Amino acid sequence: MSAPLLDVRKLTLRFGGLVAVNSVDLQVRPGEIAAVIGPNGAGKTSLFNAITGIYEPTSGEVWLHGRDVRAPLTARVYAGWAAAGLLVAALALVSVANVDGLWAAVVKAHNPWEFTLTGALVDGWRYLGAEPRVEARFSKFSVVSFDGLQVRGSHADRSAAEHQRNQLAGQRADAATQKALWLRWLAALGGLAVGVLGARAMWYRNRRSPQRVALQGVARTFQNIRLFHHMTVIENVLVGMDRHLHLGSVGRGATANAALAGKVPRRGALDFALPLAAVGALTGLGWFTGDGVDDQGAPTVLLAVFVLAALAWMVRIFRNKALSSAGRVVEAVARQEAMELLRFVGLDARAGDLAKNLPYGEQRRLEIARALATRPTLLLLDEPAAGMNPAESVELMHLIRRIRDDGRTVLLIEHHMRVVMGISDHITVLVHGTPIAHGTPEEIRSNPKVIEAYLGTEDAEAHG
Amino acid sequence: MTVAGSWRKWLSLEAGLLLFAVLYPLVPFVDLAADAADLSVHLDQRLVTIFIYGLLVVALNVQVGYAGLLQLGVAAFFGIGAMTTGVVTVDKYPFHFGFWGALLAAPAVAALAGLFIGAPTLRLRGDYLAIVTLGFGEVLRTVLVNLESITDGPRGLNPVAEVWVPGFVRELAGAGDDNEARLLVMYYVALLLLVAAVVLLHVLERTRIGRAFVALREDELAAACMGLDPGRIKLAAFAGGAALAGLAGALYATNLTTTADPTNYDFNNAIMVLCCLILGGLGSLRGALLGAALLIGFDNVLSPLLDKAIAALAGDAQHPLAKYSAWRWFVFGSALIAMMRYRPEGLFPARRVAQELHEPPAGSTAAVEPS
Repeated sequence: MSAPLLDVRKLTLRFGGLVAVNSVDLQVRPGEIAAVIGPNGAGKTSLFNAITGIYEPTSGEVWLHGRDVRAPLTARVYAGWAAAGLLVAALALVSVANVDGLWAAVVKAHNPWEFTLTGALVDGWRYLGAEPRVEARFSKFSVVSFDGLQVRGSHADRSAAEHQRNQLAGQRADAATQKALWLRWLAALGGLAVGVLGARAMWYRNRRSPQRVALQGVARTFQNIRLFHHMTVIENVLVGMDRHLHLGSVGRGATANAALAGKVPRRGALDFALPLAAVGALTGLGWFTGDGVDDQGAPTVLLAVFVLAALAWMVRIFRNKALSSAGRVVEAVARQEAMELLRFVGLDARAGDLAKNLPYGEQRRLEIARALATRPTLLLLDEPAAGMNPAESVELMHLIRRIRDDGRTVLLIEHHMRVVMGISDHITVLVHGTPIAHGTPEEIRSNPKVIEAYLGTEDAEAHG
Repeated sequence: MTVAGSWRKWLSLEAGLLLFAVLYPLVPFVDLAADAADLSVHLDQRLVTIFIYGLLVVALNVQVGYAGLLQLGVAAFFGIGAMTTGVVTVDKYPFHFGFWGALLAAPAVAALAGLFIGAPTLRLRGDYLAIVTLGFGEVLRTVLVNLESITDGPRGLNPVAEVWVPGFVRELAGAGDDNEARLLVMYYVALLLLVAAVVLLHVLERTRIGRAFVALREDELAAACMGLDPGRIKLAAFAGGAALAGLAGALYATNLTTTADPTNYDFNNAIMVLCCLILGGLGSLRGALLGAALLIGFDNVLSPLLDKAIAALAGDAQHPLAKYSAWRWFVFGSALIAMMRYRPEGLFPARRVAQELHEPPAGSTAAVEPS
């Protein structure tokens, strides 16, 4: 037998004192149609929500394709935490060291035309280290303490002042300096801790997010239909397709579609050239007109290039109705694929209608089409036959079988026993969150525990 | 399609207004007519202000209209754009980026600030986000005033670099009249940037990003289960809106040649911008522009015009209260109240936002019920 596609291991979900799902083990193999049944309130939807990342399980694990669905702890994640920590530490350090003072020490200490980037970095480092610095005061160069309160010496020229400052460097024993240094260390370390812990907490919360589970090939429908009601039918499907519409993945979509194969351009040269020319000309303009350059020739040409490139870019975008020519083709391909999906579920005639105007049964089918648009390997259906008449349920059974025949695996929750018994390969029975039986439809139908759970016994009646 | 048909397609209200805006400074017939009637209002100067506020309202529309993030701190990003422009262009600091450099720097800094504020707060919903962004706006204004050695506090940094004028424009405007030439360049730069922003966003609404915004507004959980990352999409909207607001701030500071008076970056201004957006219609670019034109134009064009007209009529006998500008807030407030009563979705609402306002979808806020 093949390895399970979905492997739920000892999953428990507790809400306060209520145990909604109690140590459930569930395996679904590729190409199967599996079902979860049970009386109302048995924890079936909670199980689905825990699998799809909407709820964080109290304990237990969910594995997909032989891997834990939770994001693994990689070196990149650690690097991200470290970056967040350093960022917050730097901000805390600068705030404690006084932004105004830092600005004065770095930018205002020199005349504007003497400013250099390396000089600024050295000055900034010295300021944060609470070292004395040179300041231009009353047409003299004074050596002042880090907080600017004590003047250690005054010189007529800058080099003499810098010489004295270099001699004083490292002598930071006085009480005020010591206190400032302590505070700065404290702020930097505190900031580092807050940043790292905050980033870790965010990561911890997001490592099982619904979008992460969806990107691993799990799509679902909802018991209470959750369509995008004010979008049209085809737009709903296009949202489901969204993850496949990155320009990078154009190729796959296009080759699947014979009519458009070979028509997908590499991003047009103009898509790059026009914005590049506009921003380049703007940067050049900034360069030429920034520091009092009197030359009128080059900036005028650059201005003309900027305006023309910007206008041409805008006209191009406006006419294409897409940000790039490749984007336009991707959209066309996506619409064709969406129509094919709608044909598959029998909704192609209603592509332009608002989702909320569809009758109930068609809304259920649209939800399935939207879920299929994400190209899932595992499709979770939460009571797909709810509110359907017998004819519609039969149609639904055919649809689910066709989905399975397309190579997708299906796990469903259902109350209609005709549907469940008719299409499932395996059935798991949940009662009060606890799995009481697992097997083929025939085994489940004759299992005394299942019959007891659904119909009750005289004993249970007496206790209830 | 016939030639006549394709021409008719372009003959819309927008195209007419755009043509007027493009031609206006070249054919100043409005000003000439006004001069003849002794009612000079310098419409071109006031139009620049309207363009800048139009950009700001469009920016807020990205956050409030598209992504559904009710944010009340837009004036703070406006202020960050203006202050950045001041810092990178004034003489006393060593950066000297000039006007064009500031146009790149201001949105970049504002977008960074947007990311920084957005990342921890966008988990909040609705009213809570509004409160946090309101607080952020007020804190930022106080910080800007108190960082006196950088921003020069309430006096503001000045002179901010003026818009750079190429030689041929100077000649066109007439030698010696530098103000006229600067105004001409400022006018076209503001118009170009506004039109560029509107075109970009108009197209964006129709791409997958625009669809993702709508899906997120309708049902965040369902969108997440389709593989959309709500956090990233919201953050992109927040940072993008902040960048546009920063650009508006850069234009504003350049237009005034100072960053002075931090009251321009406070809560009142943010509410004014939000009023423009709500009056025009949430989520709709046409509405945003109309709202800016009506409310800012109301303040900047209509009230001085009416004041002058009344003064001309009344002569010396004018009572101090018989001035339109004394009553303009009254008129403004009554108009807004009437608006909320009879047309809460705004004058030109986006089709979808109007539907959402009139009947919230049943499943949008309810949690998934366990069965």
